[in-house]
Amino acid sequence: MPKFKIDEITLVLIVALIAMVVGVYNKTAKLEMEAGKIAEVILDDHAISFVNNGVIDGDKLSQIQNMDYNQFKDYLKVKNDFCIYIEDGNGNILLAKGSSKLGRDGLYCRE
Amino acid sequence: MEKKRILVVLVILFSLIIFLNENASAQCTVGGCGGGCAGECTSGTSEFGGVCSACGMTMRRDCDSGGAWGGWYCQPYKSIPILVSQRFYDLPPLGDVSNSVLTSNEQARLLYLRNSVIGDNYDSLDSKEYPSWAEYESLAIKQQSTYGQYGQSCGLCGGTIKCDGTCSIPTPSNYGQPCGNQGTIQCDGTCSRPCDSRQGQACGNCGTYDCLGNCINQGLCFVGQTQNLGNCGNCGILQQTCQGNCQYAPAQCINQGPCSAGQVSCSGDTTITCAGNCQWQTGQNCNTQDGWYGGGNTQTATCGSVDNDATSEFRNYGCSGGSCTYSVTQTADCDGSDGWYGGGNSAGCGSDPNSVWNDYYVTTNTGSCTSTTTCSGTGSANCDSNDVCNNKCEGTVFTSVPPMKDYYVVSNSNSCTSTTDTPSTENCATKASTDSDNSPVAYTVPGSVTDYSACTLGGCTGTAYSDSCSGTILTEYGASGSSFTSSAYECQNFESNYCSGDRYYRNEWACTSSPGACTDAADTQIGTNADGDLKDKECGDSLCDNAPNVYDSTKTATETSCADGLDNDCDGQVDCNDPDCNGSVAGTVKNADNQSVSSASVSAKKGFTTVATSTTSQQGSYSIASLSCDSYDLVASHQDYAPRTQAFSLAPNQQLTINFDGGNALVFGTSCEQDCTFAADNIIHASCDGKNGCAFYDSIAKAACDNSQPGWFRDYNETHYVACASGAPQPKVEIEASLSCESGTLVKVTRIVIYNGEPVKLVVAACG
Repeated sequence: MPKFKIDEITLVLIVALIAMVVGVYNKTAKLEMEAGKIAEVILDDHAISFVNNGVIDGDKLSQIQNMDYNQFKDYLKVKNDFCIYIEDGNGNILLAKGSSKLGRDGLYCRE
Repeated sequence: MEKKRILVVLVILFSLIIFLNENASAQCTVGGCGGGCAGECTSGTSEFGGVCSACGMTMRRDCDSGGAWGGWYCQPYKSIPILVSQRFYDLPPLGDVSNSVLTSNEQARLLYLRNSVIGDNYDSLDSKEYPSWAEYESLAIKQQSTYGQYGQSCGLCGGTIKCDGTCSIPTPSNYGQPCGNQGTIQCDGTCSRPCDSRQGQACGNCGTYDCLGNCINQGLCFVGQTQNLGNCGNCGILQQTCQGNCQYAPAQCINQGPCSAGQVSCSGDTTITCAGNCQWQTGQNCNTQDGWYGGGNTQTATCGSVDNDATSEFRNYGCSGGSCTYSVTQTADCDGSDGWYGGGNSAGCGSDPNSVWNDYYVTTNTGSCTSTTTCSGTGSANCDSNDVCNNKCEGTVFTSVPPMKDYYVVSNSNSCTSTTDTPSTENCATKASTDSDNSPVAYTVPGSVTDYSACTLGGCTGTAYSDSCSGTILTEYGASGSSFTSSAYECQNFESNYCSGDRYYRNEWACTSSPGACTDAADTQIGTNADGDLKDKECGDSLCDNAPNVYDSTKTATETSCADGLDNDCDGQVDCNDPDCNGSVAGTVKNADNQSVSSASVSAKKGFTTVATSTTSQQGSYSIASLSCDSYDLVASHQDYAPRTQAFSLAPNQQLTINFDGGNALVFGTSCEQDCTFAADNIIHASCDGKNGCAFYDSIAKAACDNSQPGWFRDYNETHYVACASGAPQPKVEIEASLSCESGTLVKVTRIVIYNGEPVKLVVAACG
């Protein structure tokens, strides 16, 4: 009966794959937390919140749009780059605010 | 050469000397020498020139003895060419004759001689003229004597003699004579020393200035001045005051105290003593001495005999004649209670209680009685030694067997008696329990319940359950058949409040003793006496007992001050909470067309609470008559109009007028505003188009925006949208969201929110 044997290279590859999957998962979880945190700040009764009881305050939104991205980022106290945008029922972008690093194919977050 | 130069100089110098000498000799030869040259005139003669300025005199010079002319001078008479030997003097011009010192006759004579006899050519040898020369000479001399004095000083006032012989500054006839107290009369007729300018004015103490500036006729003092002359009366000062005439009024004794030092008196029930400053000083409040005096167990009791202990008395102290005195209003004597206490017969043939001699006396300095069993002799009586008992105890069954005599002490005596019981049998287990206070609700009587369960030869025995206390809770036991009951009772239920005099008390109850019972405890004063008048509100003193810092003396009929935090009128309502401070609001309500709006509701509101409401009359007027001072929103509303609100603050007692007119007038609820909404809502109405500045871009935009809200976006057509209500169509920018990270992982969180009236997705994308 042939003996099943994993050579050292395969073992190393498996461990590396597992580490990569775990790392990606952890990273994604952290990003979700950060994005959720931004959403909560925006929706919550916060100084820079522009959503009140589920309705966007046009004036405050305008202020946020005119705010420097890095300043806005400091207010939110987040580490990763982000982009906030409003999408209508047809999937069209009405407004966007955030890092230009996230823009592509027509969505340009303005810093 | 050198010699030639010297020669030329000498020639020039010589020529100059000659030239000068020639000119000097010419002076003496031309024009009669000009004066100063000897031999130029005949000694003793005179020469006359022009007219001097003064008095018409003539210029004259005389030839001296050396034959030289002297200087020109004014001759005090007119030049008349006469011979020296004749020594006649010229006459002045005819016109000046009147100014001379001559009399009118002499003047006329002189003129006659001058004109008619002598004429212009004098000839003293003329037989016609000669006889008149002496007269003429004398008149001329007389007249010329005046001219001779011309210019000389005259009088005492610095004048000079004038042409007419008078003095230019006449000297008053009374010059130098005394001028009262002002010196002497001067040249101008005034006195040399004028009076002081203040003469006659008031000065000093009612005095006046005299001519010399002295203040005379002064009084002794200045008005209002006081002078203390010593002490008088009750620590007073004998003082005199300066009156309006600067004379002292009769002295008066002032600032006297109300009493003389050392005097004693009473102020109500308080002694007062007059202190050294003649002011009353509060002494002792005699009422503090009110109370019981005496009593005590003053005699050694003999058992069985009533003694005679001291009585006590209640002294009601007051003040009389400056000292505390009292009257006895009540006495207490407890000897009447001396006697035997106890004894009696207990159930069964056994031990019966003793009787004891109690000696009652008044507790020292009180009105209450107390007792002691201490007495000389035998103070206790018991009759049990005489008992004859043949009883049996079998299990819980007790049987009394005759002969049986149970001796006991007759209650409250020391004598014995006995019972002769008939034989009996009782089962102690079923025997009815007994309660010494005879009731399960006798909360104020200490007692015990005996629950019988066994027997002795003396009879049934059982367990005793005594009433007991825990705090103010009484556990009360009661007999219930052969068993017992227990219940808890709150002794404070007995408490009640009452007035004693003017003070309000709570009748306190506690649970004490063992066996326990509810007992009356020391009462507590609980009245309200905020005004400190020793009269409690609960006992009828309605004045200010509920108003801290306001007293009967300061109480006012109404709330006079609405901002001092005090209940000035003691009605329980402070400042603006008191209706006395209420104000009112009134006014009119009109619409935008300045027409009165009737049946409109005008409400004063505090937040969402309506405090007062009024309805406008036919004339549109309203009035809220009574409103406490505060800040309000005044809301005018009518079914046909949009409500209008005005904030206002009403000061205490203010009669405020607030009109809803002009910019605050009511507008119809359906009236359109500039943003195409009704005044009463925030909805865009197509019907507002063209009204009050409302304008839609076009009919399509109007239809699209109808029933939306200002700022909302609405589809104009397939390719454009409009921002309601007046926005122009804008091309739709359709950018589909497609987001990615330049590197790393992209995470999106989506929330549904409302934007411009439509649901949209709010997406937060993070990259990392």
